[in-house]
Amino acid sequence: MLLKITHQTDLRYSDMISESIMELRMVPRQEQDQHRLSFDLAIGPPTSVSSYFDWLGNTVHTFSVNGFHNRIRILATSVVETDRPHKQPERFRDQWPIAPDAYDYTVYDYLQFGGPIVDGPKLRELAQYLEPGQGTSLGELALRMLYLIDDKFTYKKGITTSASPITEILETGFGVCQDFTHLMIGLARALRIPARYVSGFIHPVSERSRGYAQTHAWCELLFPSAGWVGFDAANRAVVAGQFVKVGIGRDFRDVPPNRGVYRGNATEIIDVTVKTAELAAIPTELAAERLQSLDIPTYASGYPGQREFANQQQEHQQQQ
Amino acid sequence: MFKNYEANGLFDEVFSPSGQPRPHYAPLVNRLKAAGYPAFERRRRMSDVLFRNQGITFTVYNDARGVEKIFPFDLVPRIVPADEWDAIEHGLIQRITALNLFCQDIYHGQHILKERVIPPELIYGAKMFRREMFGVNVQRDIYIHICGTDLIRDKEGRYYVLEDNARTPSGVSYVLENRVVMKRVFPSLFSEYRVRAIEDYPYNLLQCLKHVSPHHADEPSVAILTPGVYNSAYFEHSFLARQMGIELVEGRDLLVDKGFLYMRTTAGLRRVDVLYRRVDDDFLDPLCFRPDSALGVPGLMNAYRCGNLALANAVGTGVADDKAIYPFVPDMIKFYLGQDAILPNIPTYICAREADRQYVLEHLHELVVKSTNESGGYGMLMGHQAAQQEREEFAAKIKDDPRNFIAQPVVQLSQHPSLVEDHFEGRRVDLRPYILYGQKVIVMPGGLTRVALRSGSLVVNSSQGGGSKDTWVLEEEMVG
Repeated sequence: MLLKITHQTDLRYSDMISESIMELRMVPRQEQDQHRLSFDLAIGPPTSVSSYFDWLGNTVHTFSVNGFHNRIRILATSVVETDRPHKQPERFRDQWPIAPDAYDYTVYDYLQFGGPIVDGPKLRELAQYLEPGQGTSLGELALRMLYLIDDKFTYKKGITTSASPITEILETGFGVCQDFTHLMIGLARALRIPARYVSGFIHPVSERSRGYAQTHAWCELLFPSAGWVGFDAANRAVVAGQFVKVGIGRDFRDVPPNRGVYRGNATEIIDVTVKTAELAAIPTELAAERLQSLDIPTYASGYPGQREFANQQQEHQQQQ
Repeated sequence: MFKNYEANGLFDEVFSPSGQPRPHYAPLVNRLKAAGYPAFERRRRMSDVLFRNQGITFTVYNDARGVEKIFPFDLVPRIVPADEWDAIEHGLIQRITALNLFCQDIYHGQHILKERVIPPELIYGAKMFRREMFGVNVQRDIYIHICGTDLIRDKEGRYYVLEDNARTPSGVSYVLENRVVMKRVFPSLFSEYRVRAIEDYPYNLLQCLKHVSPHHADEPSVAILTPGVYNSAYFEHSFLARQMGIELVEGRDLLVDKGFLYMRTTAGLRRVDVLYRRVDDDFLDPLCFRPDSALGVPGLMNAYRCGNLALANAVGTGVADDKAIYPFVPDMIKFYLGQDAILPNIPTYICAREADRQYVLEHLHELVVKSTNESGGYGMLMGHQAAQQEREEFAAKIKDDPRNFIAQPVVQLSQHPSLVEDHFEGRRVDLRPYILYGQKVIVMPGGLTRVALRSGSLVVNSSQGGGSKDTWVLEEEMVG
C-alpha cells in the first residue's frame, strides 16, 4: 500500500515562552515490510534541526527556539510504501509457554512491567480469561487477547490521559488506543510473552478504524517462528498494510511524537491532525529527507507585556 | 597516651601484635609519646581553628543540630609504606581500566553479556543502566574519568575493595585540606617523613578533563556543574573550581543551542566543551531523564550525543558501581585484560539469585545488607548489630525487591589510634584513593582515610558521623 501521511502538530502557549527545546519521533521506520520513500519536516518558528537514532532505532529530530514565542508548528509529511501481507497468527506453530531459551537476552525489556504497564490483581484476573494452557497456540492466545479487550472495554476519549497507567482502564472500562495497547502488552507480559509498544498511523480502510485522524498506537508480540507481529487492540485487528510504523518502545514513554521543555509561565495547548491518503503511483520529485521552515515569528526583544514576563521569570527562578 | 591502648582483636595499623609500633610508625609514636597530651591538645585546637576559618564543611541530612558541619578531623596521620602502596596502585589501575572497558562494552557490543560472563538480567535490571547511552560514542572512550574506590583491611591486614564509586565520588577536597592543615600543625614531623605530594591533584584533574575535550576546541573551556549550595558536597565543588581556575555553574546558568552547550556570562554566551558534572544522571537533562529536574539543562544530552560536549563522568557509569555488579569485577578483569585481580573483592551474595537470597534471609544476623544503588551508608543493615524488628523489616524489603539488595559478611575493618579525651583508642578506618583516567591513569598517592569515630562502629561514612585523617604515602626509601 502506498500512503502519504500529513501530520501536523500545533502547540499554542497562553503566554510568551523562550528556550523551547523539543524532540520529535515522527519519522516512519524503515523496515523489511515498510519503506519510507520520503520525509519532509517543516518547523516554525524557523530553527535548525538535527537528528539521531535513539537506542530503539527510532529517528529523533531535535530543535530549539530560544527567542520569545507563543506558537510552534510542526508539519511532517511522509510517503511510505508498506508490503505487509495479512498474517494469520492462529497458524503459527509456536506454543505457550515459550521456552526460556527461545529468545536472546535483549527481549528482557519487553517482558518487564514498568511505567504505565502496571502488574496487579485486576490484570491477572483478566489474564485468566485467556485460559492459557500447556501447548496452547501462541497465535491463538494473541487473538484471544484482542477479542477479550474488545469485548470488555469501550473506546472512549476524555477518560484517560497520556500518562494513565492501565489500572485506570481496568478500573473504569474506558480508554483510547494507547490504553488498549498498554493493556494488551500487560496481558502478554503477564504470560511471559515479549510485547512492545508501537506508535504510528493507520489509514482507514474499514468503517471502524479508530485513531485514523490522530497518531495511533498498537502493540507487537514476539513469536519464535515469525518474529514481531502487530496487533491493534483498539481495532480488533492484526496489523496489515494500512499501518505505518513510526516508533517502537517499551511503552508510550519511549515513543511520544513530541516532547519538550520550555522556559516561562504558560500553559500549553496541543492540537494534532493526521491525514492519510492512498496514492496510485509514487510521486515525482521526492526527497529522501527535506527540512524546511515555517514562517512563525519569534520576538527576539520587546513585545507588549515583556516587562511583566521578565518579572515573572525572576520570581520563577527565585522559587527554585 | 598509649597506656591502655588495646588491639581489640583487630588488625592495628600502627602496632604489631607484639605491641611494638610498626617500623614506619615508630617516628610518629615516639614523637607523640615524647610530646605528651597537652602539646597534642594544643595542636588539635590549632587544627580546629584552621578548619573553621577555612569553612571546610559538609552537610548531614536528617540532623536536628543543623545540616552544615565541620568535617571532624583526626590529627594522627595514617601512614602507608611505599611497597604496600605500590600493590594498591597497580590494583587500582587494573580495576579502573577494566571498569572503563566494561562501560564501553555494555553500551556497545555487549560481548561480556553475550559470553555470559555477567548475567544480562543483572545489567538490564540495574537502575543506573542508561539505555539512552546505547551506541553513543564518548570522547576517547573514557567513561569513568574520576573514580573513588573504597579499600578496607581485614584482620590479617589484607586490602580488599569494598566498593567502587564511579559516578560522582566526593571527598577529595578534604584530602587536600587535611594535608594543608597537617603541614601547618606538624611541620617538623611532616618533614621527618618523606611523604608523597598530593597537591598536584587539581592540576591532574584539569588535565584529565581537558584530555576529553571535543576536537573542535583549541583551548577547551571546562566548567563544574553543581546542584547548588544545598548539596552536601557544595564545599568541594566550589573548592575544586577555585583550585582549577574554572567556572562553577548551576543548571540554570547553562543552555543548549544548536547542539552546543553554553554558559550565560555577563559578556554573553560562552561555549562549554567539558563539563565536570557533580549532578546525577537522573537530573542532568529534563528532556531526556527526569522531566521534573530543575538542576539540569534541557537538551544537554543532545550536545553530548553529537560529540560537542564531554561529560565527566560519562552518563551511565552507575552500571559499573552497582553493588550487584561489583561481585563480577574480578571476572571483568579476567575477561577484558586476561589478568587476575590484584585487589580482591569481599565475598558478596546477590539477593536477585534465589540460592543467595535464601542464604541471606537465613543469615541476616551475621551479614551486612546493602541497597545496590545507594551510597553514603544510607539504606544499609548491619545484621549483627540490628534489632530483631529491624532485621524483619529488611527481610521484607529484600523479598519485595531482591534486585535492589546484596549482602556481605561483616569484615572487621582495621583500626588506627584516634584521640579520645586525653588518650588514644583504636577506631576503624577505611581508605578511599582517587583515580584519574586521562591520558594515563593517575592514582593520587593516599586518599581519604575515613574513621568511624564511635567506638566499635564499622560505619565510616561522613554522612553517618565519620571523620577523616590525613594519609601519608611514603617515598621509596623510608626514614627511620
